[in-house]
Amino acid sequence: MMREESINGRQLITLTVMAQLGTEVLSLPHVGAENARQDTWLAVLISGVAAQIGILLIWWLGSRYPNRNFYAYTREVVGRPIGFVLNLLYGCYYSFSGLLITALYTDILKRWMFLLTPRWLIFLMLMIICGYAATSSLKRMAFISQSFIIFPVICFLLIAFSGIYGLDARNLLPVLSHGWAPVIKGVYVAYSAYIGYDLLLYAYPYVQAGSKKKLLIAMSVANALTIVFYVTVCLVCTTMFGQKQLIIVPEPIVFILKNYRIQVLQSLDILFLVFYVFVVSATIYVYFFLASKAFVHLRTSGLGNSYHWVWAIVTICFAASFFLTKRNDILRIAAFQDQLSILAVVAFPLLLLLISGIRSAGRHRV
Amino acid sequence: MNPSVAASEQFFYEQFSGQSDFQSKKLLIGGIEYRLFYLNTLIDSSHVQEFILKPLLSKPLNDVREVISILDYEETDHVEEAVQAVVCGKTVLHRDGESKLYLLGADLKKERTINIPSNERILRGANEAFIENLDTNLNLMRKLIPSTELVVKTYTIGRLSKTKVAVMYIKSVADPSLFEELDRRLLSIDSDYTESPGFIDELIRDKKFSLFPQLLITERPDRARAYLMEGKMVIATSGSPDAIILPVTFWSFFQSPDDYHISWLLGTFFRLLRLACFLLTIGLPAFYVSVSSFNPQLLPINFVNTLQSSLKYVTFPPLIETIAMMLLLEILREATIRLASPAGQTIGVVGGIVIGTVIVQSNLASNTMVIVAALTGLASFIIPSYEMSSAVRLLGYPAILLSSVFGLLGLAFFFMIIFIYLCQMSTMGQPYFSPPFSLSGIRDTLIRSPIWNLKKRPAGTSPYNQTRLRHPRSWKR
Amino acid sequence: MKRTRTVVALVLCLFMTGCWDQLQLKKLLFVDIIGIDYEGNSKQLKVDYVISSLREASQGGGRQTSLHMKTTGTNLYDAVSNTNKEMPGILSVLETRLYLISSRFAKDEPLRHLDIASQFASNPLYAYLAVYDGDLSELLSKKSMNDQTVSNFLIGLLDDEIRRGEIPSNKLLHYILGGNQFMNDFALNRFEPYRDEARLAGTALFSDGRYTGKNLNNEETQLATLIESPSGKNQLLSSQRDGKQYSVLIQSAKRRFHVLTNADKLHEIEISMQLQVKLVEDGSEFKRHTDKMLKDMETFIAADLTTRTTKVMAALQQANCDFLQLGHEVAVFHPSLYKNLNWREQYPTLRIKPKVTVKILNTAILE
Repeated sequence: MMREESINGRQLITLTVMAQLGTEVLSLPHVGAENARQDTWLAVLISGVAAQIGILLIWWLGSRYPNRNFYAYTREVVGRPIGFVLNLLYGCYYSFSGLLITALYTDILKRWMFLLTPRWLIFLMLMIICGYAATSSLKRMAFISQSFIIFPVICFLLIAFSGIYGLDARNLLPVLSHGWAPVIKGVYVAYSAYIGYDLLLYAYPYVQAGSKKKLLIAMSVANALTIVFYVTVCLVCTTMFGQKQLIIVPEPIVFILKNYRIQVLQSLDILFLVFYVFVVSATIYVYFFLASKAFVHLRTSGLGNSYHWVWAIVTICFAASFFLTKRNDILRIAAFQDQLSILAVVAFPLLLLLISGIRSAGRHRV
Repeated sequence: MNPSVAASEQFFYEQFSGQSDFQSKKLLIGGIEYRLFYLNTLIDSSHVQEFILKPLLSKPLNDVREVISILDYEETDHVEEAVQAVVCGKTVLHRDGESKLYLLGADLKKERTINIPSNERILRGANEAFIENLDTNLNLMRKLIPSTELVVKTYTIGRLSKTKVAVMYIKSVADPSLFEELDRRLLSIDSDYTESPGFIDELIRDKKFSLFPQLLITERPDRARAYLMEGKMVIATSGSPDAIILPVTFWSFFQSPDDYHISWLLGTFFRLLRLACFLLTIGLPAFYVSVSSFNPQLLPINFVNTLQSSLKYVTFPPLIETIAMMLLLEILREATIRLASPAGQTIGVVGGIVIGTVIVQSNLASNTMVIVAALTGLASFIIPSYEMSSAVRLLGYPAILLSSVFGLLGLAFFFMIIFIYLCQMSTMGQPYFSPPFSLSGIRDTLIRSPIWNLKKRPAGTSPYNQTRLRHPRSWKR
Repeated sequence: MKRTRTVVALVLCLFMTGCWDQLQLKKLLFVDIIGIDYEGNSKQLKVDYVISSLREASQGGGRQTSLHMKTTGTNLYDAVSNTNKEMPGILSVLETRLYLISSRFAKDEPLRHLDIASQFASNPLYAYLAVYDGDLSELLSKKSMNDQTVSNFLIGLLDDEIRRGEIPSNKLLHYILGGNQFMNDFALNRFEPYRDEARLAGTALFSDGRYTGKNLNNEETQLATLIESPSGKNQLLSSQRDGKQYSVLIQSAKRRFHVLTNADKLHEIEISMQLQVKLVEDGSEFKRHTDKMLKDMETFIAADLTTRTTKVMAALQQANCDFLQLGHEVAVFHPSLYKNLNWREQYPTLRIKPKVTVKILNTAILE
C-alpha cells in the first residue's frame, strides 16, 4: 500500500487553508450580493460555521479509523462493490472539481488579461504545473503550500488595506432587511467556497498533531482563517461598492485593487490576478492529488501508481477543457458542482458515519 | 615469492619496461646483495641517501627493520604490491635470500604552502584554505577538531588514478544512517579516475538533472568544521583544494562564514539581502520583459513615459534585447575568469565603456535594460556559493521566455515550477528545501539568529545529539 | 525519466507559443486625458485625447510633451476605432488619469456613455472625472499651460486641491454602473476657462447621474466637502467680523447627522459639525487673546459657519442633489419611514439644520 510521510499540525493548517481558498474570493461578494444583498458577510460567516460542522463530521469519521485513509476504509464500511463505486465517484468528483476551478480561473484570466492568448495554452500551463505538484507526496505538497502561503497573505493585506480608500459602513445596514430567507440562500451559495477541508478525509491518518483533539483544533484554526479571509473580502466589497454595481461586476475585488496608487506602482489588480495563480493552483493540485489517490485505492493492493494517475487525469481534463469555452456553460456546471460537492463532502461522509456507527453498535450487541 | 634478487629484478623490469625513470640500484654491502627499486622522479634522493643507504652501510648485517628508521615502513611478500608502492613513490628494498620486500617511504614531497582562500573571501575569521594535498587538509581538520570524535575514513577511488578520498564526520553528532548511505554511494563509484569535486558530485547526487547544487563546496576548513558540527559530512579528496559538504539544504547556499562574526542583526540583514537577490536574479530580467511588453499599467504614467522614451528607438523587441544583454553579461563574467589577471583591467574598460555607453548610444539596447542587466549581474554575485549563483543566473533565461509569452503570469508560473521542484527535491533522503515555517525553522535559514539562541543542531542531519550549546550566557545570573 | 518528460512538455509548450497579448511599448500612445463632448448639435460624441510622452530623452534629459487628437463617433468604442484610422500607433487607456466632460454632455446622459469604460480590460477606472465649462478641444489642444503639459496641469490642480481637502475626490468608478453610493448624486469638480488657461471653479451638481446645471462656487465647495468627508487638513476658512478679517485653519473636523422624526414623519435632519481650529488671523494687529475673547470668537465663527452651511445646503436642495447621501442615512436608520417616502420629492423641501461648533485650539505660532 502507499506509504505516506506524516505531516504536522502546522502543515495541515496550511494545506487546508490553501485548499479552501479558491476562485471564490473573487466572485463571492458578487454571488453573495445577488442572493443576500448587504448581508453577504453574514451569510459567509454562517456558512463558515456550517463548514466547521462539516469538519467535525469528517473528523469524527476519521477518528473511527485512525490508521487508514478514507479510501482505504470505505470498502470496510459499505462492502467491497459499493466501496469501489464510492472511490471511483470520489476520484471523478475531485478530477471534475480540479477541472472546473482551472476553467473558472482561466476564464477570469481570459477576460481580464489575456484577450488574445489561446485559452488552451493557459489551461495547459496550469494543468502541467498543478499536475507536477500533485505528483508529490502529502508532505512535499504541504511544503509547496507553505511556500505559497505568502501570496494569500499579501492578497489579504491588499484587500484589507484597500479600506483606506473610503468605505461606507452604512452599506451594511440595515441588517436582515429582507428576513432570513435570502441569507440562507447565500449560506448555501457560499458553502462551496469552504470546500477543501475534505482534504482531511484522506490526510487524517498522516497527521502527527499529538492527539485527536489537537488535530481538530488545527482544522478549526484553518477554517477560522478562511472565514476571516472571506468575511473581510465581503465586508470590504459591500462597503466600497453600491449594490447595483456589485450585481453587475463579477469580480469586484479586481476593481477595488485598481484603486491603489503608490508612487512607483499602480494597478495592483494585475499583480493580484497574477499572485492569485498561486492560491488557485494550490486548490487544484490538492484536488488532483486526492483524485489520484482515490483511483489508486480502487483495489485494496493499489491500482497503478498515483504518478501515472495524476498525468492521466491531467490529460483527460485538458481534453475536456476544449468543451468548456462558454462562460455561461462554466457557470452552470459550477452550480452543478456545488450540489455535487455537498453530496461528496457532507452527505456521503455522514452516511458512512451512520453506517459504521450502526455496524459497530450491532457488533456490540451481538 | 622468489627470494632471489635477480628474480625480483626481472619482475620489476617486466613491469616497468620502457619507463626511463625506473631505477634498479644494485648494492653489495657486507657481502649481501641488495636491490633498491624506485622511480627517480618520485623519490627524494637525499632522503634515500640519509635514511636508507647510510644506516645500511653502517650496520650491514643487522635486521633491516632495526637498521632503517623510517616511519613509513612496510613489509610485503607480494611483488605486485611492491610494484604499486613504487608507483606511489616508495622505495622498495630487497635483501637477497629473504622472501619479503621492504616498502620504504622516502618520496619527494612537493606541495604548496597553505594560502589564504581565494574564492571565498571573508572579512573576519580564519584565513586558511585547503590545498591539493589530502594529508595536509586532514591535518588542518584534525587540528581544528582535536578529538577522537572526528572520524576520518578513507577510500581509494579510480582504477588508475587511485585517488584517495577521505570522509569526515563527527561520531557522536552525525546520523549514522546518513554515513552508511554515503558509504554505499562512494563504494559504488567505479571509474578510471576521479576528480573532485565535479565527478564525485555528479556520481553521488540524488537528482541527476538538477540545476541546483546539492553539495556545498568549500575551500575553508573553518566552514567545513562548522558544518561537521551540525552533523554533516565532509569529503576531502587528494588533488583538490575543495572539500565537499553534504547533505546540505537550499538555505546553506546563502550562509556565509562572515555572518557569524558580525552582529546577528547585520547577519540577518545580509542573509535576507542574499535571498532577495536570489529572487531578483531569477525574476528581474523577466519582470522587465513583462512590464515593457505586457503590463505597463503597473507603473504610473510618468514612469512609463520614461521607460517608453528609452525604448523608443531601440530596434530589438524587449525579449531579444534582454536575452542579448544577459548573454553579454555572462560573456563578460566568463572572460574575466579566464583572462590573465594583468589583463583583467581591460574587461572593466570593455565592459563599462563599450556596453554601458556605446550600446545605449547606438540604440541597440535601452538605458533601462543596461540597468537591469547590471543589477541582475550584481545580485547574482552576492550569493556566496559560486555554483548557486551560476545556477540562478541560468534560471533567468527560461523565466524570460515564459514571461515573453504570459507576461507577469509567466513569471509566476516559473516561480511556481521552481518552488515545486525545490520542494520535491531531496538530498541523501533529507528534504532539500523546506519552507521556514516555525521558529526553529527560521533560526539559521531566513535569519541568522544569535549564537546564544542556536542551542540545537538541525534535526535533519543530527537527530540524536541535538544540543550544541549549553547554558548560554549563564554568567549573567 | 519522469522529470525529463515534464521538461520536454514545457519546452514544447514554449516552442508552440507566440506572443499573443504582447504590447509594443514603443508604439503605445498613452492617453492621459479623455475629453467628451457632443459634436455640434448632434448626438455624435466628440472625443478629445491628450497623449503624454517624453520627447528627446537622452541620458538624464527629456521633455514632457502632450499630443492632442480629436475624433468623433457614436460611442467611445467607435471614436477609438475612428482614431485608429487617423493616427498610427496603438491608443492605450492603461494610464488614463482624467475624464473631462463638457457641461452640455453632462446635462444629457453622461453615465450611459461612460459605463462602457468599465468594459475596457485594465482601464484605470479610478481616473478622475470632472466637468469643463467651455470648449474642450480648445483647452486640450493647448501645448502647454504655465510651462506644464495640459494633463500635468489639470491633474496636478485636482491632486493638490484634493490633498488640501478643498474639493471632493471624484473617481470615475464611483459613478458608473449605477454608482457606489445610495443615491447617484454627486458634485463633480468643475473647470472653467480662465485667461489663457483653466482653473477650478467649484463643483457641478449632479442629480441621478445628470448635471443639474447648478454649481457651487469654490467657497461653498469647500464647506460641502468638509461636511461630506470631514477631515482636518489645514483648510483655510476666512471671513470678516465687524469689518475685520479673520482666518482659521481647520485641525480636525467631526460631523454627525441626526434624523429627527415626528410621529412617523420625517421632521428634520440636523447636521452637527464640530471643528477644531487654529486662529491664525484676527484683525490686522496682534493682541493677546483672553479666554473671553476666544470664547467670543468661537461663538461668532460657529454662527457664521452655520449660516454659510445653511446656504450650501439650500443650494444642494435646490438642485435636488443629495450630495451628502442623507437619503442613505434615513434609509438605513429609519427603513420603514423611508419606504413610505419619495425621497426625490421630499428632499428639496426637507428641513435641514446645520449646527456648527468651533473650538479654537491655539493661535498658531504667535500668541
